[in-house]
Amino acid sequence: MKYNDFSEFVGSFSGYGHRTATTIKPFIKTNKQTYGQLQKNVYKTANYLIGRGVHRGERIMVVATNSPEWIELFLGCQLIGAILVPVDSRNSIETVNNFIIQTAPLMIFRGNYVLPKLDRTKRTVILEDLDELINDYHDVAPNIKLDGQDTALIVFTSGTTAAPKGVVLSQKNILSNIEGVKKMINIDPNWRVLSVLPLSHMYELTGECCMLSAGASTYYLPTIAPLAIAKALADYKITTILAVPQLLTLFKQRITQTAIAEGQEKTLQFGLKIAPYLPKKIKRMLFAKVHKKLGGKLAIVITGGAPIPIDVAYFWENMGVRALQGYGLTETSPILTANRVKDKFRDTQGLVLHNIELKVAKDGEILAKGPSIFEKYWQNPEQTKQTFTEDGWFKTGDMGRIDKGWLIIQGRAKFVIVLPSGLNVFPEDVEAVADKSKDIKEICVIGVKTEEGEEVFAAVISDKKDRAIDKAIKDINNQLEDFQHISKWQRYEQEEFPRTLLLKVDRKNIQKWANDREKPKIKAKSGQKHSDEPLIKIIRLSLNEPQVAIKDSDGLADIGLDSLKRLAVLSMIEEQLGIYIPESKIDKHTTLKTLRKLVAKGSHTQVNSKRPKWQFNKVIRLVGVAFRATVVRGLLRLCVKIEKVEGAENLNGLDGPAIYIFNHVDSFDVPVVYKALPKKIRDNLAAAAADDVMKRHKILTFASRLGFVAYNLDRLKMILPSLEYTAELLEKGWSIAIAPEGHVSKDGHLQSFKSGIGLLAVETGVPIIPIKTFGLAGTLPLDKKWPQKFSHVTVRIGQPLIIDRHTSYEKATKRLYKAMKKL
Amino acid sequence: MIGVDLVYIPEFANQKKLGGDKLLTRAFDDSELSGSLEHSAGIWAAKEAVIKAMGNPKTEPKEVKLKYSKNGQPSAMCHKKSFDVSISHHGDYAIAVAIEVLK
Repeated sequence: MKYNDFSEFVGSFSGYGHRTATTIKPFIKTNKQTYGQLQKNVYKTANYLIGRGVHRGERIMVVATNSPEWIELFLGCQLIGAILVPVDSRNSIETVNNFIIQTAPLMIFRGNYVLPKLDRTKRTVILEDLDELINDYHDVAPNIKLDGQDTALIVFTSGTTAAPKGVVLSQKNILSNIEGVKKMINIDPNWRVLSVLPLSHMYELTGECCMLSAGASTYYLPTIAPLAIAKALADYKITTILAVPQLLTLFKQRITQTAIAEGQEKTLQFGLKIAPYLPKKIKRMLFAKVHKKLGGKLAIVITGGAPIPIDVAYFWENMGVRALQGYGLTETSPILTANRVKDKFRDTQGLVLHNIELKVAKDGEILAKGPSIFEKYWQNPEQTKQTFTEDGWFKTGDMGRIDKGWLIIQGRAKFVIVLPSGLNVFPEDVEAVADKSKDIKEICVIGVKTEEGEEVFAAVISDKKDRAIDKAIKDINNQLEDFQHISKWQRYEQEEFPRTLLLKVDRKNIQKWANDREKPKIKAKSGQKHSDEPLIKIIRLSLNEPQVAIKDSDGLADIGLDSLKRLAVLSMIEEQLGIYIPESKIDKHTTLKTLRKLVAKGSHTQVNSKRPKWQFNKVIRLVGVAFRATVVRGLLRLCVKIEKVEGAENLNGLDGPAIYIFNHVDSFDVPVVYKALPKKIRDNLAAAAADDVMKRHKILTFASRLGFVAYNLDRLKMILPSLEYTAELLEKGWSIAIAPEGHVSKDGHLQSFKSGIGLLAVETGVPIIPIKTFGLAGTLPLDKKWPQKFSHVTVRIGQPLIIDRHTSYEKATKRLYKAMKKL
Repeated sequence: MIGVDLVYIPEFANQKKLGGDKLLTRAFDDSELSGSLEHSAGIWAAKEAVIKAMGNPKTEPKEVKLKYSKNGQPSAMCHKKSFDVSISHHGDYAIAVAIEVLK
C-alpha cells in the first residue's frame, strides 16, 4: 500500500478497528489500546497541539522512553505538519539542552522519569499525561492540507563535541520507506511485536510504523533489562522483535549457560549440529525447552544498527527462529536493504528495497538514491554538501559490494565505531575531549573487535606513568556520554602516530596494531569462566568505572563498593542474572571470589512464579459456590449471626471489578464479608490471603481457594509481583477482597494500612469499597482451633472511592484508612 | 549506640536507577516506597545510620522499619530495639543520625 500523507496512514487504522494496536504495562497494570482508540487519540493529539498554538513547521521535542503516547505524539505532529525532534532519553541534560538551543521547540514532552531538571518552563509537559491533556479535544481529523514534502522529523545523530548533526527527514521520506519495507517483508497482522529499542532511533520508529500499517500488535517495554525482556516474551507470547545484535548475543550466552548449568551442554551442541538439516518445525520441537522460556511463539528477529555476528545468526536460525538482517542509516529513513522472511538464511545485508537505487563508487563506498533519502542536515549546509556526490547520490560511508542485488558490507569508509547496542561513536568526538588532557600527548581512538562487536579503544602516547594515564582517561570519560566511554587503552610506544599522505593520523594502521596486540594477560592466565563476565560488568557499572581491574581476592569495600552500591549490585544480579542473593550474605569484607561462588550456586528466581490457578476454573467455581452455600454456611451459622447489613445501597451501580477492603479481626471475616455481599458480586470475588499463612495451613488453604477463590499475597518479600497479579485479576474481571491491615487486630481496633493498598488503588483506578464488621472479633481467633463464642454481627458497607492517579500512594492509603475509620 | 550516615543524592539516584525495582523492594518497606528522590535518599541514610547504631553490619536495610510520628518526627525499629532518628537534606546531600532509645 502507498500512502500520500500521514492522514491516509492514520486513516487506514479504521480497517483494523477492534484489533489491539498497543499494549504497555507502566507499573502493575496493563493498558491496551485498539486501533480505533489509537486513531482517535492521534486526532485528539493533533487538535490539542493546534490548541496549544503549534503551527506547521514548528518543532516539538520528545525525550522519553517508549510508550503508546510517544506514537500518538509522533502521528499527531505529522497530521498538522509539526516537526518532531525525538531525543534518546539516555542523553545527558547538557546534550538535550544543546538540541533545544538548536531546534527551539515550542513544546517539550518529557518522560515521567527522564531528566527531571530539564527545562522547567510551561512549554514542558509530561508525556505520560498526554491522554489526560487531550481528553477534551475533538477526536476527528484536523482539517489541514499537507503535501507530503513537509518535514516530519529532525533526528540527531550521536556526538557531543563536534556539533551533533540533525538529520532532517520529510514525511515523504518515511512513508516511502514504510512502503519499501512492507514490499520486502510481509508483515502478518497476527504478529505480536516487542518494542525495546528507543523510538527516538529511526530503525525502531519506521519499524513500528510498518507494524501499525499492517495491523500488528506492539507491546512496549520501558526497560531493556534482559530478564524483563524474557518475561515480556513469555507473558505476551511475542512472535517478533526488532533488536540490535547485542541482545541476541546475550540471549545466546544465557541459553548456553543454562544448558551448561543443567548438564545439557552436549545435548544442546548436538542439537545445533544436526539442526541445519531439519525442517523448521522439527528444529523448534528439538529446542522446545528453550522456546518455552522464550514464550513459545518467537519466530522472527529483525536486527539492525550493527552487523550481526554470523555464529549468533546461525544459532538462532538453528533454533528455528528467523534472523533477518537489514541495513540502513538515519539519513535513509533508515532501511536501504533487508532480508526476506521466505528466503533461506544468507550472510548478507539483504536485497535492495524496490524504491531504492544502490551503487558502489570507484573507491568501494556504497552510494544510495531514492525517495527515502534525507534532504539536508538541520542548519548545516556545509555538512549536507559533503554528504552527497555532485550528481546527488548519498554517501553512506560504508564499503561493500552488491552481488546480484544482495548487499554485502565489508567495512567502513569513516572510522565510526559501531557499538553492539547500535549506538555510533565518532572517534573525533572522543579525541576532541582527550586533546585537552595535560597528561596525554597524543591520542587516537578506534573501534576494536570483541566477541560482541566493537568497543572504544584508545592508543595513547604519553611520558606519564600508567596510573596518571588511567586517571586522565577517567577524567575524559566523565566528560563524555556514557556510551562514548573509552573502555580500554594502551600505550603506543612511539614518539608519534603514523600519518597518511595528507598528514592525518593513519587510523587503519593503528587499528591493525590494536587488533594484533597481545591480548590482556588476565584472560589467558586465570582461565576465567565465561559466566564471570556479567558479574564484573555489573560491578563496573555500579562503580561507574568501565575499565577497572578487579582481583578475586579483593574485598568488596576495597574496590569501592559501599553498602548502597553493594545493594545496587545485588539488585542487578537479581534483575539481569535472575539470581537472588540476600543482603545478609555479603558485607564489606566479602571477596569477589565469595560473591562469585554465591552467584554460581545461587537459586534462580522464577521469572513466572507458579501460582495455583485451578480455583479460577469455571467448573471449580460451580463446586466452590456450592461448597460455600453448604459447608461454609453451615459452619458460619454455628457461631455467627449477621444481624444487619447497612449501606447495601452503596453497591448499586457498581458494575465491573472493584476492590473490597475490610477490617481484619477474625478468621471468620472473609466468610462474613462474602455473605454480606449480593450474589452477583460475591460470585466474582477473589480473596487475597497472606502467603506465609497459606503455606502453614494446607487444609484451610484448600478450602479458601475452593470457597473464596483465594490467591496468595506475599506480604514479606516480592511485594510487587503480588500486586501485579492482583492487577491482572482485576483486568480479567475479578473483584478482590483484601484486608489492608495485613495482620489480624487482636482487640478489634483498626490498625494502620499497608501502603500496598494505596498503590493498588492509584495504579488500577478501580473503585474501592470499605466494609466494616462489628462484633466479630474473638469468635474464632487465628491461634485457636475452635470457635470461642457466638457473635451477633453488623456489617456496614461504605461508599465506593475512586482515587485519582496523581495521588501519592501514601496519601491514597491514608484516605482509605480514614474512610474505613469513619464507617 | 549512635550512628550517622551521609548520602550524596546524585550517586544515590544513579545506584537506584541501576538497581531499579529490585533495589526498591530490597531496601524499602512498601510504606516507604513512594515519595521524592530526596525523601528516599533520606530514608536510606536513616537506615544506614540505624544499622551503624546497631553495631551489626549484617542487618539488612529492610529490617529497619522507619515510622513517622504525627508531627513528622521519624523513629525506627529494628530487631526489637527502638531508635530516635533525625534526617535532613540540603542540595545534593542527605544526612541522618540515629541513637538507640534504651527502655
